[in-house]
Amino acid sequence: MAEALIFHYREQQSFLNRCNPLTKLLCILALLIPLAKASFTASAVLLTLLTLLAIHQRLPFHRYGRELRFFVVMTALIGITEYLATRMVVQSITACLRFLSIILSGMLLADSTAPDDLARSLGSVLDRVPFIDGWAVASTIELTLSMIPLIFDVTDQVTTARKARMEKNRRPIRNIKALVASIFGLLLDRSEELSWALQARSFDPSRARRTLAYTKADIFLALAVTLIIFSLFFLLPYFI
Amino acid sequence: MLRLENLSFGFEKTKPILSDISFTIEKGSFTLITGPNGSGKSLLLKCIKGLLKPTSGTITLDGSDVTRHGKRRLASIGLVFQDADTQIVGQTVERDILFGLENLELPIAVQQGRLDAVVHLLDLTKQLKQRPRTLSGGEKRRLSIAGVLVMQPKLLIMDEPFANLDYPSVLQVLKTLLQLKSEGHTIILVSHEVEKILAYTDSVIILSEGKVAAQGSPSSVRPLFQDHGVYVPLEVPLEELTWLKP
Repeated sequence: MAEALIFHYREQQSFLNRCNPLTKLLCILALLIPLAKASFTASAVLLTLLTLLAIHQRLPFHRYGRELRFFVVMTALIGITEYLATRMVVQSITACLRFLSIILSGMLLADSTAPDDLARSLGSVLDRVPFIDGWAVASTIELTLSMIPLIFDVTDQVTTARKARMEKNRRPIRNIKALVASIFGLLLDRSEELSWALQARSFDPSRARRTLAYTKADIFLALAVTLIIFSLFFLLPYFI
Repeated sequence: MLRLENLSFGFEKTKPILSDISFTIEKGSFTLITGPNGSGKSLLLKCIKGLLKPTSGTITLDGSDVTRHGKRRLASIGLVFQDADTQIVGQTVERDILFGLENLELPIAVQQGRLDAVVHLLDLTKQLKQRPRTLSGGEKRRLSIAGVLVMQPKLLIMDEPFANLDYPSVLQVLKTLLQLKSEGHTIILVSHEVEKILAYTDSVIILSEGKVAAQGSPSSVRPLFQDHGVYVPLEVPLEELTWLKP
């Protein structure tokens, strides 16, 4: 049984999976840009809404294991540094909520969007921009997204192998240097193999692909996000 | 069908890794290329496929010289890589099989027809919507074969198809190979585990230190295996040198 990988697509018939990748991407950007200036209440409400969506999407948090621990540590670090800088508890909690919202949005997008679907949607739009090979740019984004689970996979392999050989943490800097070198080495090997595999199956990054249609789910998502943005970032500040 | 004449390859011109490799593969034949680790088997496959450019020599496919036509070789020759995981690029089994067909820009009806045929042939119908990561080793190997076979190559090359597989998975792959052979596919298989497949091969090529050390029918080449670092049980008759007992 394979361990679930964070930021990895899962094929299912959910509401988010039915939405066009471009709609999802634009909605996430529309939600996250005003989040930078959002209040504690707005950030908390947004994170609650995203969490409800994650439950509906059945994100397998319990199977993400150690990758999730990394984000917990990052959240704690953000909270502590924000507190040290401002000496305000609410401010530091708000920073944590914003960070968690960004991560959760990314997880929802990755879980419900196959990288090649994202490339199809983005490519068709970018290709209309003059002097840009839109399909090549979209393919680059697709390959970059495909590398994310590979990075987690390779990191997991390397750390497990080192743990199995009872690595001591007496020289942390030396250990980290060796760990990073191993991860990069393995990642480069895997990338080379992936590039050969793509070439072997006649992959052409500039090839125009079949675009994806928009559905009622896209209209619903766009309306819901517009309503949320209007309520959280324009109406709410008047009441608080 | 495929003819290699004095093919050489090296990352540096002064240090060839493959030297003067010459052999012919007949249409519909099943050829085994074997040799010890580091003999250049995988590099040779990549040269044949068009992923690496030979430094000298010629590659002829169906009578025409394709040495300088890497792209033509990419489309005409299918290569199943040693590590199935790195070859699988789709997010589901179905998407992975369709990946190559989309690159060939075939009409959707043709893609669907080929998908149905290959999924039926390799018994992947139930796994169609599954994520490739969740498949077993044998299923992954069949998926990597399906992804290549669906592009209908003239020649199918497989690099170490039995590597890292348990006994039932090896049997699955063997059955698939024999089925492909019976359907008239031209197959080149690279493996040093000759005892699993030798009984079914038509010809054998032994590579050693980047050169062809021996080639011929399985019975003629068999006594030379151990001289070139390839294990094969001597006391077992040739027709029993397979894990798939008749």
